[in-house]
Amino acid sequence: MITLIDYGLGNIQAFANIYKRLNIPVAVARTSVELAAAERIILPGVGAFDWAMSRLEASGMRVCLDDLVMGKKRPVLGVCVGMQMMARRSDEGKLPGLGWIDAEVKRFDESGFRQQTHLPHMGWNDVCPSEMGSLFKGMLSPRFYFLHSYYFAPVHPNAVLAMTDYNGHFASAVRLGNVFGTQFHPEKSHQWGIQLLKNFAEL
Amino acid sequence: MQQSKYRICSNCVMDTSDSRITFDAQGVCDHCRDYHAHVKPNWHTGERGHQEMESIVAKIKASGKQRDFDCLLGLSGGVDSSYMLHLAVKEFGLRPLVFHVDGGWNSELAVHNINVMIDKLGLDLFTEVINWNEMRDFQLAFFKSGVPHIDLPQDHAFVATLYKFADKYNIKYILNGGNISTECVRNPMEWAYYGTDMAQINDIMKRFSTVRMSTYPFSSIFRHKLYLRYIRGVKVVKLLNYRPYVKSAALELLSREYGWRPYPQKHFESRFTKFFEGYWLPERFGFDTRRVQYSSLILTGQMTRDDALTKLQSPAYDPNSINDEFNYIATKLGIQPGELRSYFTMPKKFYWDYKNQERVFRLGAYFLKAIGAERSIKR
Repeated sequence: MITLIDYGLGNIQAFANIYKRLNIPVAVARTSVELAAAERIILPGVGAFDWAMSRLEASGMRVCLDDLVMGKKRPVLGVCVGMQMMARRSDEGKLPGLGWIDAEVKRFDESGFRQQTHLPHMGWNDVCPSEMGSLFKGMLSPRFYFLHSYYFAPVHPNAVLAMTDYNGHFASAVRLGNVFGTQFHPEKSHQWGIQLLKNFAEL
Repeated sequence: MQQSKYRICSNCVMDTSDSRITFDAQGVCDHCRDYHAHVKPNWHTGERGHQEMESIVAKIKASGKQRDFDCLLGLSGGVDSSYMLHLAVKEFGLRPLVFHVDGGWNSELAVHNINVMIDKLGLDLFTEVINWNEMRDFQLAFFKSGVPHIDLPQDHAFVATLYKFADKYNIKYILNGGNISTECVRNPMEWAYYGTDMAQINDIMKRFSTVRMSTYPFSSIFRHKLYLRYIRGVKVVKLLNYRPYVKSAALELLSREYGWRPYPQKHFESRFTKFFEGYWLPERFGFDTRRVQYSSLILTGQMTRDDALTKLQSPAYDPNSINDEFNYIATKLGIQPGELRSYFTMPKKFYWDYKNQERVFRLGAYFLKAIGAERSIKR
């Protein structure tokens, strides 16, 4: 069973549709009590960092989510801003992040960009996994859809699960134990994304 | 009011950390004396209690004929409200509207327990999520005021939401998990002041809050104790007082029948209350609410005094993780740990340092005791 956290951000329906097609049971949690039975959790997100954090707080689900992820070690996948929220802080906002991974979120340095590179980083790009198990099982040179101007910078390099080049390499997927994050949008990435969401459900 | 010499009751574990405590010649405290003189003689869990309960249950059912609900029950996920829900539905066939107030501090354990109860009993749950920005500011205002009762914002939201539901759905009976068995000794007033004293709330908010409370549920004692009870006829029923309620047996039943999981301590269903009662109150003020809880269990024969004394030797918090917990609470409240530390070390204040309606509340309490509606007195 996959539980999608609905705190008003991200395209919950896109995830739900994919899992329905894969015949994998899926539930949507809007309150902390609905989150109680979550076995595997997806934390989606779009928009600004502070807005996302304050929406999560306002949903009442934050403390239970922390307990499930850090205490019960339930697998969780953060997507886009959902991934960035797992860091300690972000250049984009003032509020602290969830701090599940020792990392900060930084803005791409535009001054070093080549002429054809600009922000936001939008569209398809190559993703190079550092291990072929877990999220990227069964994928050869996968490509995913991105839309962001900030990137996730983990302190410990062993948290990096995949790299992507956008005028320099950044962590496009991370993992620390049961905590997974992807900067790209698997729900908008066709067969690669479907495979990744399936892999997450089968971890 | 400060007593210079340390003393502990010879019968329970209440001590001079409750500054208004008095002892008789045998060294027995006024909590114990009050229990034996006023509470126990009026607590009927046998045949008489059974008959009283049957008649109340019949009235509740009659009041809800042709309606979706016949009573109202607030579920915190703690043992009292969970067990009461079990009794109400399974034993008495009542049809409660079950609601839960989410103040932003629900632990995984609490939501697990709420979820299994609702799921197994096939009920709907009405969840009221308090506006986090207002809750946070309300809680911070109480930290800044320096008083012990910083759990008031959560308690108040619960009480106010309860009466809001009773009013909105026109429900005449409120099931209350308050009980003699595990709560016959009450928190002294200086530890936990009345949560519905609007004079106190308004004064503290006026001085320390930074956000306008536009959605926070408020209810004054005048509204819910007078208007709703006597004009609208809303009645509060403490179901757990009419039959033997043994905490260990209730825990066993809940875990066997529902997959309910116990908490390390009463009120630990909220991560905030866990921090507040486990760390803040004992370490900043020397008020250990376990004394009250254990003393209740001693008086009702569910714990030995020696057992309680042994348990009180170790702190209610985990010394290994308290630093992380402290930082977590600060971060969640949106402040730096250093700021929270400054509230911890600031001069101690009490309810009498701010405007209050204590006299009105006392008068009401004595009135309720005089007519027999309330047995134990908070003091």
